[in-house]
Amino acid sequence: MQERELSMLEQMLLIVIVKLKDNAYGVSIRREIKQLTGKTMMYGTLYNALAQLLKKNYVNKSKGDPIPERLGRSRIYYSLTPAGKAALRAAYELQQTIWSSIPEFLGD
Amino acid sequence: MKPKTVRPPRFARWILARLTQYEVDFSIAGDLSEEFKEIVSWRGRFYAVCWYWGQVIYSVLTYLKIFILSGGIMFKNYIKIALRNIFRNKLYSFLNIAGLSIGIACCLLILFYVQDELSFDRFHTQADRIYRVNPTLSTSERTVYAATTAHAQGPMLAAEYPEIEAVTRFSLYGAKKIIKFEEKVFFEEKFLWCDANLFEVFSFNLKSGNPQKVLVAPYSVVITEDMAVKYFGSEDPLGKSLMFNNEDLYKVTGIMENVPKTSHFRPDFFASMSTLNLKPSGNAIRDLLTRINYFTFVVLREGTDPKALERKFDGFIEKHLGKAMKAMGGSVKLELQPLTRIYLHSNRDNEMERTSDIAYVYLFSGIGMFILLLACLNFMNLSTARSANRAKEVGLRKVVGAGKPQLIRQFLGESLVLTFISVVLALLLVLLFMSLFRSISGKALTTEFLFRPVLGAGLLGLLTVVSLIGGSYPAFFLSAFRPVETLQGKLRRGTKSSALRIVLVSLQFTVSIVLIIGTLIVSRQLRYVQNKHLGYDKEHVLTVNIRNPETQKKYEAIKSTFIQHPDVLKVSASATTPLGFNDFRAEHAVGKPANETFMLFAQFVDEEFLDLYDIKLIAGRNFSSRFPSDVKNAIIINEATVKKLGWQDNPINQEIEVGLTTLGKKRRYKVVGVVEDYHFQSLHENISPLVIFNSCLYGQFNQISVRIRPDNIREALSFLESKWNEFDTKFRFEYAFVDDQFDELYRTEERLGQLFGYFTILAILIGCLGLFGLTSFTTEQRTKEIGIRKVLGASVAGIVVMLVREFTKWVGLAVLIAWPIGYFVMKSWLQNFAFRIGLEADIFIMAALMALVIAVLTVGYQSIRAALTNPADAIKYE
Repeated sequence: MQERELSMLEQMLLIVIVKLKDNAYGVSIRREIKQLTGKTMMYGTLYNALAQLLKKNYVNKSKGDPIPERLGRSRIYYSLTPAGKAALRAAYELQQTIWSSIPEFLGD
Repeated sequence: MKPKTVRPPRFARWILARLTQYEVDFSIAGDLSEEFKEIVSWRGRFYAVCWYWGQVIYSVLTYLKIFILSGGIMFKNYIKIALRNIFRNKLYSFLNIAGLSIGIACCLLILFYVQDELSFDRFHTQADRIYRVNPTLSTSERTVYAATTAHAQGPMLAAEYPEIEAVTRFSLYGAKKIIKFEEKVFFEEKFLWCDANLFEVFSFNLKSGNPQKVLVAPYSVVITEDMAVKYFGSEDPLGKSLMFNNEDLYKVTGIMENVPKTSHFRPDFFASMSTLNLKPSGNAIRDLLTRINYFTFVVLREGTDPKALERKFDGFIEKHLGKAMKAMGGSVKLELQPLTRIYLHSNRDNEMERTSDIAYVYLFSGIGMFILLLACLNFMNLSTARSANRAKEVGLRKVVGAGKPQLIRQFLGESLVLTFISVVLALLLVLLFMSLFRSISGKALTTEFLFRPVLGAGLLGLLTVVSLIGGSYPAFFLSAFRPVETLQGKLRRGTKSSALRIVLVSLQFTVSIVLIIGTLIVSRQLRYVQNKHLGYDKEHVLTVNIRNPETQKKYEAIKSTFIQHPDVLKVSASATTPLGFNDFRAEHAVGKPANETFMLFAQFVDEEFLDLYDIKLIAGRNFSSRFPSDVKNAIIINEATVKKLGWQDNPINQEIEVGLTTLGKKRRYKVVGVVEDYHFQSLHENISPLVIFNSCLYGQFNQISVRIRPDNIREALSFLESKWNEFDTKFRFEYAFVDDQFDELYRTEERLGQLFGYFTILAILIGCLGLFGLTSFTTEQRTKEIGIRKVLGASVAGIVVMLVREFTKWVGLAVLIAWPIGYFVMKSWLQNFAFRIGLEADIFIMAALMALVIAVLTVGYQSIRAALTNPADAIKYE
C-alpha cells in the first residue's frame, strides 16, 4: 500500500530529529521546534505525531540510562530509520517540485 | 530549594501512569518532570503546576483520540456491550439516567442563573475603569451609606485629580414624570437626568443622533426604542417634543437601543442634565453636603490604582470639609466602587434600582454543585452495586483473554454512554423547564446560551468528569478481580464495596436533610413575617395613587363620593401607607443642647389615617380639625422616638425643629400624640424612630387609602373606578392592596423559599432513586438468605423489619451529620431579619422524620416484595 504523504508536523519532527542527532528526545525536540517556529507545542500533540512516525517505522527509539531528575525515568532517544530518511527526502523533493512551478511568486 | 517541592503533583502523575503507551514509547512522565523542574526555577511553583496539569489533561485527550482511532473495532464493540447492558438492566439504567439527567439539568439551570447574575454591567467597553463615587456620611447618631453625592462632587474631584479621565452623573431627582405626546399620556418612572458625555462613558448604543451632542442642550431627551414606539408609533421621533409634567417641552434628540437586561439601571428616558442648570455656589460645605442625590461615575485613566486614589480623597475631604466636620462631629469617606461590583456587592442605601446579593450567587452555586454531586454519587453507587453482579462476567472475560486495560475501557465506555444519554436528556429537561425557572428566578433568561460553544465545551468536560467518576470504581475495582475467585462466586456479596455504598447513601441523605431543614425554616420565617402583628391592619385596604396635581385638589370631593358606598368603611389621604416613609432627616429636640440632632424617619398622613389602619394611640390625641393649630405644627411620634429623645415622662407638648441649621428656615412642631410602634419598614429592620406629620401641612399626599368591607370587594372596586374616572380623566384608576405591597418586600425571600423547595424535592428524588436501586440490589443478593429464614419460620413482617432496619441506620447517621450543618447555615440566614423565628427543635425532628419516612417507603417496597416471595423459588435462585 502506498504510504500517504508526510504532514507538515511530521516533516518538522523528522527534520528536528535529524538536526538534534544523538540528542533527540521529548524535551529537546519540543524546545527545538519552539526555537525554529516560535510555536509552543503541547506534549500530547508531539507524542501523537511521534506515534504515527513510529507506527510507519520512520523512526527508531532507544532507551537511555535512568536519570534521577526525571523521577528515575530514562530518556527515549529517536533516530530516523532508512525508510524515514527516504520519506523525508521524498517530501523535500515533492515540495521543491511543487514550489518551482510558480517561480514568479517566489521571485517577488 | 528542598527536593520535595520540585516534584510534580502526585495525582497528575498517577493519571499519567495510566497512559501506558505514552510511557512505553515516549517516557512522558520523565519528559514532563524534566521540564517541570526548569519551569519551577523560572516561573515559580504555581505556574509550573498549572503547566503540568495542562499538559497532562491535554495528553489524556490526545491519548483517548489515538486510542479511539486505532481501536475503532474494539470501540464499536464496547459501545455495543454497553448498550446491551443498559437494555438488559432496564431498572438500573433508568434510575441511573434519571438521577443523572435531573442533576445535570438542575446544574445547568443554576449555571444560567449565576452566569446571568455575574454578567451585569460588563457589556460596557470601559467597564473595568468605571467606578462610582460612594460617600459614607457618619455622625455620632447614624452612618449613611450613600450611593449618591452632591452634584459638585464629581467635577471637583476631576479638577483636582488627573487620574480621573471623565466624570458623568445621573440624577433621579423628581424623576417620576407624566409624559405626553399629542393624545398619549403615560406615567413614567424610568427617567434619568444625565451628563452630556453619557455615551462616551457608558457603551449604550445610540441608534440615531450624534452621541457627543444629543444631551448637550437643555431640554433634550434621548429615548429608548420601546418608548419611541410607545409614543410615536411608526413616526420618526427625532426632533419631536414630549410634554413633561404638563410644564416643559423636551425635544427628542436621539434614539437608543433598549438598555440591556444586564445593566443595573435600565431607564427609558435620558434627559440632559444641563436642563437642571446646576451651578456650584463656591461654598464647599453647601456644594458638597446638600442635595446628595447625584450618582457620580468616574472613568479612571489606564493603570490607575483605585485604592490609592481613594486614599487621596481623604485629603480632598480634609481640605474642603475638615472644619465643618470637626464642628459637626461627623465624617465623610469617599469610596470608589467598581461598576461591575455594584449589582452584586453594593451595600448602599439608595441604589437606582433593586440590586442583588452575591450571597445568593454563592448559595445557588453551592446548591447546584451539591445536586450534581448527589447525582454523581448516585451514579457511582448504582454502578458499584451492579458491579458485584457482573463479577462473573469479568471473570469469564479474563479467562477468555481480556486484559485489565480492555476491561477498564469497557466499564468506562459504559458509563460514558450512560452519561451521554443523561446529558442529552438533561438538555431536553432544561428546555422544558426553562419557562418555569424563568418565573421562579424572576430573570429573563434565554435558551440562546445553550447554543454557545462555551457551554458545549463545558458539557463535554462535565461528561468526561462524571463518567470518569461514575465509572472509575467499577472499572478499576472490578478489573482487578481474580478470575478464579469470581467464577467460584466468592465475591458475590461484594462486602468491601458495601461500606463505600453506605457512605455514599448517608452523604446523599445528609444533603437532602439539610435542604429539608432549609426549606422548612425559610417557609416558616416567611409565614411568621406575613402573620406578625405589625402594629397596623393591612388587610382589605387598597390604595389609589394620585398622579395629577389637579386631582389632588379635588380630594375632599373624591373622599365624600367614595364614602357613600356602603362597603367603603374609611377613606384617608397620605403620602405613604404605614409601610414606607417619606423622608429621613435630622431633627433637633427643643430643650436639648443646640447642636444635638437626631436622624428621624417621617411620614405624612391625615387625621383618618390612624383610624383606618387601626394604629393605636397610647398617649395624647390624633390630628383633628377641631384644633386649628394642628394644620400648622402638630406631630405624632412613635414610642421609639420617645425613647430616643428621652421624653418618657411626658412626651406630649414637647417640641422638635428641623435640625440642619444650614437649611435656613426653622420651624417648630409640637407633639400632640404618641402611637404604639408599628413596622413601617420591612422586618429586616428594627423599628426606628418615626415622626408623623399632618399631611395638610404641605399638601403632601399622593395616595388615597380606602378600607373596604371584605364581603364584596369586586363590586366596591368597580364603584370606586367609575367614580374615579369622573374626577380624573387623564389617569386611569390604578389601585394596589396594601397586603400585596407588603408581600412584595419579601419577594426575594419568597423566591429563595420556592427555589429551595424545588431543589429539595429534586435532591430527595435523586437520593430516593439511589436508595431504591441499592435496596433492590441488596435484597436480590439476600434472596437465598430470606428464603431460608422463611422456611425456618420467620414472618413476613419480621423480614421486612430486618431489611428496613439496615438502611434506616444509615439515614440516622445522616441525620446526625445534617443537624448541626443545617443549624449553623440557617442561623446565619436568619441573621438577615431583625424579627425572626427561633430555631426550634421540631423543625429538625420533622426534617429527620421526613427523610426517614421517605427512606422507609423507598426501601419498604423492595423489602416486602422480597419477603413475600415463595421460599421454594428463593432457595432455587441462581
